[in-house]
Amino acid sequence: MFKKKLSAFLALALASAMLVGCGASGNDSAQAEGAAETDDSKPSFVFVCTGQLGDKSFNDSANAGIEEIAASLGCETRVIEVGRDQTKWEPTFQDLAEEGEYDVIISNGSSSIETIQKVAEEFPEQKFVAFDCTIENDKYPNLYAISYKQNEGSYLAGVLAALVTKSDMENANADNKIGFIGGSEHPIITDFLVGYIAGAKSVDPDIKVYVSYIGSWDDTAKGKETAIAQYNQGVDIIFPAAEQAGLGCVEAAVEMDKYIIGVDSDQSMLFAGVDEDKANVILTSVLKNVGDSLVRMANMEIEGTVPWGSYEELGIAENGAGIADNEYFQKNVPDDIKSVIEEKKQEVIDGNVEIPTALGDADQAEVQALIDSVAP
Amino acid sequence: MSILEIIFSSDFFFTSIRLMTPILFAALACMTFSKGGIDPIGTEGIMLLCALAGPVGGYFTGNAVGGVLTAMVVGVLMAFVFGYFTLILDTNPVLAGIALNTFSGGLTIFLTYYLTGNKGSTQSLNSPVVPNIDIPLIENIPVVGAIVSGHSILTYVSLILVVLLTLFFWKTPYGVRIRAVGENEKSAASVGVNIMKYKYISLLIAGCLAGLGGAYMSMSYVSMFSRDMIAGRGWIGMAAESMGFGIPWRITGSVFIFGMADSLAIRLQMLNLPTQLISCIPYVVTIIAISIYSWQRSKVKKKKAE
Repeated sequence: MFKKKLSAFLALALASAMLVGCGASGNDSAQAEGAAETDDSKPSFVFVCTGQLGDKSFNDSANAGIEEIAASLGCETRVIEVGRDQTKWEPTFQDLAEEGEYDVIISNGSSSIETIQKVAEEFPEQKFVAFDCTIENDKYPNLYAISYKQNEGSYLAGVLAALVTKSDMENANADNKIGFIGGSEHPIITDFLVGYIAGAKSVDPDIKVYVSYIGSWDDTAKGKETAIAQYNQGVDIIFPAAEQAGLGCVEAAVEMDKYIIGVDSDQSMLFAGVDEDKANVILTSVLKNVGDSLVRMANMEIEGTVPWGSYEELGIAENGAGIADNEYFQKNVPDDIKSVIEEKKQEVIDGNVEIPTALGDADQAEVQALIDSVAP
Repeated sequence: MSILEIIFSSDFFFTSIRLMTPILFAALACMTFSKGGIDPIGTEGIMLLCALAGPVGGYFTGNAVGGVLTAMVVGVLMAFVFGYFTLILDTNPVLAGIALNTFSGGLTIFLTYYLTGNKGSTQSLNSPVVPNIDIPLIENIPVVGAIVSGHSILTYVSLILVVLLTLFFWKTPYGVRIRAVGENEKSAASVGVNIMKYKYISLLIAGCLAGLGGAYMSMSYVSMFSRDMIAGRGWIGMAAESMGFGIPWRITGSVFIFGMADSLAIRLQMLNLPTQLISCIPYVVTIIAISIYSWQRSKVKKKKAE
């Protein structure tokens, strides 16, 4: 009898734990954002977050952009956190489009572009914006997509890495060797890589770039091991594009007194105040400025210049991609390097350099040739 | 730099030992489960929860010992939960194992977010780490010193445990009874052995071992928990256990082969060989090793038959 009761209790406990879990993750509570000074004549925006806020990456960046739109442009905005449950996405978009309360519905296209396209066709009067994805031009006249040129951000990272490895900075050695670590071989990761190589070669054509793949996006320990192996070969700065596994590379840099370049989010600021050792080895981070790109879109919408029906690739010039300029960058990177980076950045903005890409209809043989040209 | 230079360097062997430690803990845990006749399929999930428990426990107690102990306690708790479901409620062990593994995958993310506000890792929790130690005298021996000395305390603990567990399972009444229970429950019961008691003892030991493995990952290998960080090491431990026929020194040998294969794969990438080819080295080595072992075993069986 006791056992029965106990098992019933355990089952109940587990079931309630599941419910609690659902409640926290599948939370579709609506949050009204900064509706202080709204102006009816201005367009209104709703951000449908197809994940969770608090990811310290894309969703948080988009949320910051939405807050900025409300604060500085005085538009009515709202954030709806739908969660990862894909079955909820379509009804949410449909409800919002049906109500027609908001002029523009914004969402993260890398996960939900198919759903957005479907709903956009159903509601031709409703405007949709999808970030971090591309669309077929002119097929959806009420949809605008934003993609980011990660190769431009990593171009600057390559410039920085090549300058650091040649410099007399404390942890830089005499070898002109820099490193790149990817989670696994993937077109977007290769796009990071070719930008990085191009940036490094623009500083030193004879630079050697060690390229390794962890073979996992989660395995922090293997990420650390891979970074240690590169550092042992005389590499003194690594750019890991490997999500969680890249955190292991940061650990390796701290342990071996070397440098690292972060990715996706401003990683040194994540460690700031918590682990100064880690924050200090991350010289900068390659970013996609989702928030800024949304503010740019809102401005264009007010002016009526959004290119509906097509996608735009935002790079450094549009402040859609770039590298993080934070207190650690200011503190740890010597001034002469900073000024060279600034020059290179201006060159990119002026369109004076052609940065190779591995995406779209890029010639894969050329991409491989570029990678081979710096192989140790 | 040639392949031979890579292999015959002390750095290569040092890395192999570092890579094999978590797998060795996993394999020893699997061995202890199997000795007590319990399916070791939940090891991966138990280790993952322990990997989170370590830094969290360490953060709240303020020292590494507290963290490791917390991980071990969580390991034992999870092993008991698994045992309760499979032994008392008679759940299918494979289903219970899958449930446990998916459960810990989700629970760890939930707890990480709850505790740190970050879904990926506990990087904002400045948790203590288990230190690496240099062994006096041995560290001064050329080559050997560079390979053997300077590892994490937990690495030495794992190697000591190999000896201790061998003695326990073959030389003590408790150990022999656990093996008897695992090999044939009914005959063990017929001579008056309390089956459940010995099953729970093996769950207790296995839980501690998985806890140590998890703690090693997040408190020594790297200094934080990150999502899904065990990344299949529990499963490889299971493979190593069967490759080693459940005999501790043989298990250690197979785990070392896995460690070397991983270490080699990481180093060969520097030679600019195709990555796809290199990433399959650990798996190819596994297949070759298993083939050799089973070939040997079939030979032994044939001899016995004659």
